[in-house]
Amino acid sequence: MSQRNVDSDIAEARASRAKADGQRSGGRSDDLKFGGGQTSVDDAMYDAGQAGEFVTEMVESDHSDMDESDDDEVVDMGTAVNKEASPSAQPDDFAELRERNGSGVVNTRISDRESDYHKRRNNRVALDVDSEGNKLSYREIMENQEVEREKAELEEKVRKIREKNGEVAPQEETATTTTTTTTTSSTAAKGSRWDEPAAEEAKPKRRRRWDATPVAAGVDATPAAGGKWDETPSAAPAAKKRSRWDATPAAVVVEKLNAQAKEAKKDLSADPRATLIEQEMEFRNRPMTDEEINNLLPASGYKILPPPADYKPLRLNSSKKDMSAYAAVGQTPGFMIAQTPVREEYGIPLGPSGTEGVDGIPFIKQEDYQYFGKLMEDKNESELTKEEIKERQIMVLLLKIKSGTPPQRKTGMRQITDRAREFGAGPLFNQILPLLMSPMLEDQERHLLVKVIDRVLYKLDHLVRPYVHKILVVIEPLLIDEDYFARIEGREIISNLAKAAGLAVMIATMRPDIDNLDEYVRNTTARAFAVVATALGVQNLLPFLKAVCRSKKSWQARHTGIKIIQQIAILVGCGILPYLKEMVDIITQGLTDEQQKVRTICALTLAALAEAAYPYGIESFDGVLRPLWKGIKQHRGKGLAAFLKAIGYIIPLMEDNHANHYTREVMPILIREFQSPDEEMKKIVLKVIKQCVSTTGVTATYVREEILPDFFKHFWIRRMALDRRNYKQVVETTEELGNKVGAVDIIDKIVEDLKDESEPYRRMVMEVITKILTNLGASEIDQRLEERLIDGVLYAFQEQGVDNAAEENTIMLDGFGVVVNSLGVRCKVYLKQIAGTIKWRLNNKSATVRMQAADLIGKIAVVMKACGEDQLMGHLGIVLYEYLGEEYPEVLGSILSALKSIVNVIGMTKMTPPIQDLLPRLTPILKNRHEKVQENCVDLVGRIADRGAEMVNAKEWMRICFELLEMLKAPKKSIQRASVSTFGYIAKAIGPQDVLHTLINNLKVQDRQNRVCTTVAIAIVAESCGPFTILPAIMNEYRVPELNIQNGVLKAMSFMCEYIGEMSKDYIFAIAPLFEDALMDRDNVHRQTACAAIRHLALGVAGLGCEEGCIHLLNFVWPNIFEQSPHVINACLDAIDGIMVAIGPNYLMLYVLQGLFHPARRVREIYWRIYNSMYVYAGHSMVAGYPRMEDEGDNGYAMTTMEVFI
Amino acid sequence: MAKHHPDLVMCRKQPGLSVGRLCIKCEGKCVICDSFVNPVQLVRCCDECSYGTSHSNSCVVCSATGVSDAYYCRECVSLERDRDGCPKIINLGESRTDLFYAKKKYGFKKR
Repeated sequence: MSQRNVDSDIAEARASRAKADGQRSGGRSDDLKFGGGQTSVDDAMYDAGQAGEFVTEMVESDHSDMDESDDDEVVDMGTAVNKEASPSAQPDDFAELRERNGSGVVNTRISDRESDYHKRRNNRVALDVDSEGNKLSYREIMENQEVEREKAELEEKVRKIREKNGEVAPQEETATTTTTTTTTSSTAAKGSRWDEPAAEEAKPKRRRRWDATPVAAGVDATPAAGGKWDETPSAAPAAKKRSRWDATPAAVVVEKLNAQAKEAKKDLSADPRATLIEQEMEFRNRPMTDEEINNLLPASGYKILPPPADYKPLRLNSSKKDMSAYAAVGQTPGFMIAQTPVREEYGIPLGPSGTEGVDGIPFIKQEDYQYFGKLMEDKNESELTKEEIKERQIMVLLLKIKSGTPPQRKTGMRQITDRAREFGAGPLFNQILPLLMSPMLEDQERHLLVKVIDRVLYKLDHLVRPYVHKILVVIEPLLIDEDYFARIEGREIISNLAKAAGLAVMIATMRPDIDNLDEYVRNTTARAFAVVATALGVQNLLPFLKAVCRSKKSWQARHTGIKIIQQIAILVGCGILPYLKEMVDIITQGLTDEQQKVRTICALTLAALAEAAYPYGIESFDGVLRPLWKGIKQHRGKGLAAFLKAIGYIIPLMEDNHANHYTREVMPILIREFQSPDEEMKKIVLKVIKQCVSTTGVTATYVREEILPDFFKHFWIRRMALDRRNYKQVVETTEELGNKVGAVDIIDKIVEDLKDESEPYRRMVMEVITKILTNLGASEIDQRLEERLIDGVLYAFQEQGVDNAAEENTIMLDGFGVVVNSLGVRCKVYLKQIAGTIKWRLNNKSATVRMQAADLIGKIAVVMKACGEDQLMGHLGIVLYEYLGEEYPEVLGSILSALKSIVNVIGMTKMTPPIQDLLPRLTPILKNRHEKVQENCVDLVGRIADRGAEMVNAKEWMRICFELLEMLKAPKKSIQRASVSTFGYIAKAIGPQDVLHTLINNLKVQDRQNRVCTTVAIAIVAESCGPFTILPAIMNEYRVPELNIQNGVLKAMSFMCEYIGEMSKDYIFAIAPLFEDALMDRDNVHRQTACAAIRHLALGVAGLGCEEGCIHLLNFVWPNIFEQSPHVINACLDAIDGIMVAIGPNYLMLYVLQGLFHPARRVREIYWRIYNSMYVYAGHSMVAGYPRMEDEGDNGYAMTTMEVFI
Repeated sequence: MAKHHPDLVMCRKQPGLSVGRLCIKCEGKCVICDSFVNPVQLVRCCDECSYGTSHSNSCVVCSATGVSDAYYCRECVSLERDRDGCPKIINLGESRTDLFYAKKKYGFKKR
C-alpha cells in the first residue's frame, strides 16, 4: 500500500508545482521557457508528461526518424491504427492512469497505450494444441485452419442471405458476440492456453476456435478420425451456424452461474481500474435474455430449467477460494469442500509492504500474485517434489528479474542463464510466457522478460522447438510496437529463435498462421517470416514463398506471401538484389489478382522492392510495367495510391528516355489526383512527383509548363503547412522541382508568401528557400528578387513567435543564415539594416528573441568579414561584451558563441574589446554549470589560448586552469575534451611546470572521471611540450604509495605513449623500470593499466629498433595471461598483440610453444588463444618459426614441399 | 564503442566503396578502439550498410546522423584491425536498450 502513498505524494507535489507554474507564468510569461535554476528543469521533465502533450505523442507515433521503412505501411494499416488510437486516449483518463501505473511519472503499462489493433494480440489461440492440451500434428493444424476458414466463409454467406431476407441483422450480431464471450470464460478454467485461469478474467479472449466450447470439444478431440465440424450431431439442419451451440441448455445455465461467480469475485479488488474492467466484463457476461436465446436456439424442443431452490450466488472474499469455486463450477455446482482459512483471514498481510521482501525476494505487486503467489506460501522444502522445487526456483529468479533491484536482477539473470538447461525448456517457458501475456505488464518488465527469453534461447538451442509457436505468439506483437527499441528486440529474438529451431520447424509452425482469418495474425506473421528469412538466408525461403504466393485455396495466403516479400525488402535493403528477379516473378500475378487487397499489397511490395534495389535492377521489373500502367487507369482510391507508389519507385531505376516516356504517361493521372481530398493520396502524389522529376530524362521545360502551375495551385496553400507529414513532403518535392527548373522559378513564386500571416506557412516557405539556395546558390537571383527576398526574410525573422519549439525557431534562423551566406558580398548594402535589427533585438525583453539575435550574429559573421565590415563587427563585439552579464544561460551560451565567431573571423589582434579585457571577463563564466554556457565558454577560451595566449598574463591563465579542473567533471564529453585540450594550449603558452603541478595534485581527488580526465590532460601536456618535461615529475609522483595516484600516473603514461607514438622510442628504457614495478604489483589494476601502456608503447616503437626493450617488458607481461578478471586478461592480451607487432610473431612463438600442449586444459586454452590471434595476424610468417620435429623411431615427421603441396 | 560494449556486433561483410560516417557525438573516434588521436585510414563500409538515404549517412558506431568521415587510428592499422571487414555496428546493444526503458519508465524522454 505504500506504493499508493508514494503515488499520491507525487500527485500532490505535481499539483503544487502546477500551481506555482501558473503564478509564474502570470508574471512574465514569455520568459518562462528558461526560468532559471532547478525548477525549470523539473518543468521540462514533468511538463513533457502532461496530459495534452502525451496524447499527441500517442496519436502521432511517428517512427519515421528511426525506421523509415515502417512508414511504408501507411496505406495498409498504419493510418488505421493511429486513428483508432486517438479516441481511447482521453486526456483526463490518461493522466489518471499515468499516476496509477508505471513509475508514477508516466504510464508505461503496455495495455493502456495499445490501440484496438494492437490489442488483438490477446485474441490469438494456440494452434498446435487441442482443447485438452494434446499436441497436434501439422496436418491436423492445417485441417483445423481449413475448417475454420470454411466456417467463416459460410457464416459470412449466411449473414448476407439473412440480410437480404430482411432479418434483423444487428440484433443477431450482438447476440452472437455475447454468447461468444460468455462461453469463452467458461472454458477458461479448463482449456486456456497458458493454463492460467486468472489471466483470463481480466481480458476476455474472443473465442475464435469453433471447438473451444466444452461440449464441442469432444468432436475436436479426434480430428484424425475425420472430425469435421459439419459432422456434429446437429439436429437442426436449417441453421448450420447453430451447430456449435447445439449443446444442452445446461451449458447456458453454467454460463450464468459462471458469470455470477465472476461478479462475486470482482467485489474484492479495490483497484478502480479493475472496477472499470469489471463493469465491462459484467456487461459482456450479462445473462442472456430469453429473446437472445431464442435467436440462437430453436424456440421449440428446449425447456428452461429453474435454478435449484437452495442456489445462492457465490460471494466470496479471498481470491483463493474464489479460484477454487470458479474451477468447481464446471463440475458439481452447489457443493464445495471448505477451504483451510488462508493467511489473510488472520489479518496477516501476504507480503511485506516495502520494496524489499523476505529472504531477498522482491516485493510482489498486487497484480503479480497470480503468478508469484506460490512463493508466499510457507512450505517445507523437503515435502516438495523435485519439479515443484524447480518451479519455485524459476519463480524466484523471474520475480527478481521482473521487479527486483538492479543487482538482484543481474544475479537473477545470470543464474537463469547458467541453469537454463538444468531447468529445461518446459518449466521455463511455462512461467515466462504467461508473464509476458499479463495485461498489467509494463514496458520495462516486458523488456526484461524478453531479455530472459533471449538468453535462455541461446542456452537451450534446439530444445526450444516445442515452444516455437508459443514464443512467437508473445514476441510477434513486438514487431509492430510503437517503440523502435521494441521492434528491434522482437527482431533479434525471432532471428535467434529461427537459428535455434531451424527453417523446417519455423515454416511448419508459422504456415498455419499465414492464412489465418485475423488480419492481425497475418500481419505479424508476415513480419516474423521476413525476419526468419533474413536470419536463415532469403534464398532458402524462396521456394516456400513461391508456393504461398500462388496459393489457390485462399487469397489470405497470397496476400501474406506477398507481404512477406515486402517485409524482406524493407529489412534487408539492397541485400535482395541477388533474388530480385525471382521475387518480382513470384508476385507478378498478384497485380491482376481478383482480390483488391492482394493487388494493393502487390503494388506496395513492388514499391518496396524497387526502393531497395535502387539504382539497379530495372530489368527485373520489365514484366510488371504493363500491368502497373494499365492498373492506374483502372483503379481508384487506395488501389490507385498503391499503384502510383510502385510507379514512383520504379521510374528512378529506368534509363533516361524510358523514364521520360513513362513519366508522361502517368502525369495526367497525378495532376488529376492533385485535387484528391485524401491525405494519403496527396502524400503519395507528392512523392511520385518528386521521384519522377529527379530522373534526368524529364526535361525542365516539361516540368515548368506541365507540373508547376497546378502544383503551386494545389499544394502551396496554408492548410498544407499545418500537418507535419504533408509539410515535409511538400518541402521535399518543391526542393526537387527547384533542382530541376532552377532557383528563380520557385523562389519568385513563393517569396511574397514570406510575409503571409500564417506562421507555419511562412516557415514552410522559408525552409524551401533555404534548401533551394543551399543546393543551387543565389547566382541566378537578380537585383529585384534579391531585395524582395531580403525584405521577406527580415520580416519573417522578426515576426516569428517567441514560444515556438526549438526546431521551429532554427528554421527561420538557418534560413536567414543561408540567404545571407549565399548572397555573399551582395549583402553589403543590407548589412547595416540587419545589424540594426540584431542590436535592437539583443535588447528585447524576451529571452528567445535575444538568443536568436545572438545566434544570427554567429551565422553571418563570415559574410560580414567578406563584405569588409570590420568596423561593424568590432561594434557588435563590444555590444555582445556588454551583454555578458546575461542571466539566462541559453542566451548567454549564444552570446558566447557569437563572440567566438567574431573572434574567429577578425583575429585576436584586431578584436574589440581587446583580448586582455575579454578573457578576465570569461573566467567567472567558466563557473557556470549550464552545458551550453560551459561548452561555448571553453571553446572561446581554448581558441584564445591557442591563438592569442601571449596577450594575457600567466596569472590569469593559472586562474583559468583551476576553473578548468572543475570543468573536467562536466557530464558532456565534448566539454571534457575541449577543456582537456585547452590545458595543452595553456601549457604551451605559459610552460608546463605550473600546469603540471596543478594537474598532478588533482590526481588525489576521489572522483574517477575527474582523475581520468586529468591523466588525459597530463598526456596532452606531454605531447605539446615534449615528454621530457613531464616524465621526471610523474615518475617521481609514482613513488607516492597510494593506489589512485599510482594508477593515475600509469594511465597518464598510457595516454602519453598513445599520443606521442614514435617519439616514445627515446624513452622506453627510461620508463621500463616503472612498468616492471607496476607489472609485479599485487593490485591487478596496476597490471592492467601497465599492460595498456605497454601496448601503446610497443605499437609506437614498432620497427624502430627497440625489440630488446619490448622483449624485456614481455617477460613481465607474460605471467599475467593466467589472470581471471576479464579486464585484466583483455589488457594483457592486447599488450601481447602490440608486442607481437613490435618483435615479430616468431619470437613470440617461442613463448607460445611452451604451453600449447600442456596437460592442463585451462593452461592450453589461453596459449591456443594467443596462438590463434598470431595465426590470424601473421600466419604466413610463422612458418619459419615452426619447431623442427625430430623423427621418432618409425614415425617420420619430415615432409617435403612437394608432399605438402599435394 | 565496441571496445567497451562487448555485446555490440559488427557487420564484418566485405567492405565496398562507401565511406563510413560518424555522428556529432562519436566524431573523431577510431571505430575500433575509440582512440581520439592519429586517425590514418578512412573507414569503408559494405554495400548493405550504406544503402539508401537513411543508411548512407548514418554513424558507423551509433547510427545517428553522420557529420564527418570515420577513420581507423594508427595503432589499429598496424594491428591490421582495418582489414577485418565492415565495422558498422548492426545491433543496438544491451546498455542502450536498458537505458531506453529505464528512461521511459520515468518519462525523461519523449517518444
